[in-house]
Amino acid sequence: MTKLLNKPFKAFTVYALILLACSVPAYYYVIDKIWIREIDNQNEILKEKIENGLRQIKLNEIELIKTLQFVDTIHPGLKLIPIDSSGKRKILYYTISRKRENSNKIDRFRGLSAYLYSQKKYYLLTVETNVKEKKGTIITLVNISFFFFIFLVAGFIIINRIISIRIWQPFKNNLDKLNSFDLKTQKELNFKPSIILEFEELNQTLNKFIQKNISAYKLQKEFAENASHELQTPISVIKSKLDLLVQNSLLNQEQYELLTSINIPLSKLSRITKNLLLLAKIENRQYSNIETIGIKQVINETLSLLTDQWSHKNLKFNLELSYSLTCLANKNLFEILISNLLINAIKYTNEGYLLGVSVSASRIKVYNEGKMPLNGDQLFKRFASTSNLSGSSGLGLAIVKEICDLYSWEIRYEYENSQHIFSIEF
Amino acid sequence: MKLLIIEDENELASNIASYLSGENYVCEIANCYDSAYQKINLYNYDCILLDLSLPGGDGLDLLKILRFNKKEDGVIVISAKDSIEDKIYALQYGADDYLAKPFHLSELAARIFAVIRRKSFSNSNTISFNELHIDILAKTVKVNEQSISLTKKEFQLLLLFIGNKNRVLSKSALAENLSGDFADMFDNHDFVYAHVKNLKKKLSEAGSGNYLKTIYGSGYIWQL
Repeated sequence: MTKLLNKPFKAFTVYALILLACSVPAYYYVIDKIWIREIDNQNEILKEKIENGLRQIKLNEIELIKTLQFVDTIHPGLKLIPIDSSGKRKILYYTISRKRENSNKIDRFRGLSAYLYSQKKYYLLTVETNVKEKKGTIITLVNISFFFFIFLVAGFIIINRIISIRIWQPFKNNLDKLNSFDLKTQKELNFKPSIILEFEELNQTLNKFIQKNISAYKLQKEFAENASHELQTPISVIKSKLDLLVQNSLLNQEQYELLTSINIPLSKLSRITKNLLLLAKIENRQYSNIETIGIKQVINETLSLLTDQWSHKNLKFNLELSYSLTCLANKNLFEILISNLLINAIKYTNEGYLLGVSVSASRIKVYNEGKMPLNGDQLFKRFASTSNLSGSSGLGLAIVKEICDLYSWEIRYEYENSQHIFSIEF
Repeated sequence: MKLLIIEDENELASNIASYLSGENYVCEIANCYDSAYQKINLYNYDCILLDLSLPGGDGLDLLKILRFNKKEDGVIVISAKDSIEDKIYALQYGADDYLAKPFHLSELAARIFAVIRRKSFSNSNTISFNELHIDILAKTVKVNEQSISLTKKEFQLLLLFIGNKNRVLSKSALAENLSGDFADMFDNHDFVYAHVKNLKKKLSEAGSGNYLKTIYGSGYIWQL
């Protein structure tokens, strides 16, 4: 994944490279033009100076030739040759390349040739000034352009950094807040107001989006609660009608048993709605009172409350509750957690088999003998239980899992030595 | 005994009334907040059954008004809400008992019986049934002045039966009375046999009459 800012950065870099590359010939053309015009000007000034000088000095022919030869020797670019007649054009500008002596280097010259007339004599003046050769100019320009390109890219990188840190900060803040957002807490996020239009728009859109989500979540939560409560009333009506019906003295035993057997699925129906409500409440974090709980005590109390359920089964109990482990949780929820685990173990252990509960330094373990391993992936899912026992709501272990998740405890199921082992690591 | 049933589900209210009518209870029904409000202000009841979610208002407000006016009517909240918080809340506002829906009518009858006893005989809370004398507070039972020792659950069952004289009680009603919230998590309610059997045995050994009868193989009835 590329960062958002790197995308335009690449484009900018390529664009800058192209632009600077194009600028090299343009600069060269302009610089060359200016240079040559400047040299031409200078040559003209020189020409005029020489012209004036010729007018003023009085030399005989031999002296003049000597002087001109001397000038030619010390200043090879300047030649003044006496001629017999004037050419047609007065001044000629030209550019010429010459090979340097004793070297392969080629020098470029800008020249001016003009015919002078002084003291009834014609002279041909040529002034040549060295112009930097083309190749040299281009190399210099390329170097300068490259130098600026490096600076430009470095600048881009630094500005990019600064922008990404400073200008994108609100965006990052929003992102962090969104990451930490938990719908279950139903707390709205307070985005920092931004002076940048796009961010402010983003903030408002996010706020609207979150508010909608929260209200939908609240609706769903209320729905779960209301549905659960509304269902209990018709169940109550059915139950009370059954109670009334069995008072009828005209019933025979078969009819009585049919009628009272309805109580069991009815209880299950009621339990399912209660459990769904419980799950919704746990998800909604409605159990906030947390206290220190002695795990051993809860296990003992629950086992004693369930005495009727296990006493007729002749279970072989294996209780290792000597370790006094405590945990921080809602007492009510913790009791539900323990009773769900124990009820399952009691329900699914056959008569005369082993049922064990152990508390150690950081975990509790509830285990019982069973013939076949259970499907560990499905076990903690809602209504995924494969049990055909009619008392099961299919939600007991889902509730256990939900409570463990709430307090970040790890619940595990294992099957070892013909034993189902449920362990919770605190 | 005068009872007021404040319940918006008419079917349930009339079922309760019909179940209780056999005893010397006179039941009135209020199916909304306003009519309940008028009735509790005008009359006194031995026991009020109060549903919390009512058309027109919150049942808890009725309870608050009642207690604010220093009325001592017994109040049993019957609500679909069964969380600990709801129960504690209702009891704090002066409810005498809290029964979560759905419930067996026999359970409700036993609770009403207990609340009325508690309210009207606060000092000597003893029920007498022929040669049987039950002290609710001390949780002791005497047959012909001779004490018999019952377990907690047997005593609980005895009260259930006394509170539901001449009524057929199903096994599941007994199980619910004994195990409370856990009852609906098990499909096997056979454990009630053992408790009923022991209770019967202890009563008859002490010379009590055979009031507790088995009916239809798995039901029970307490009658003379």
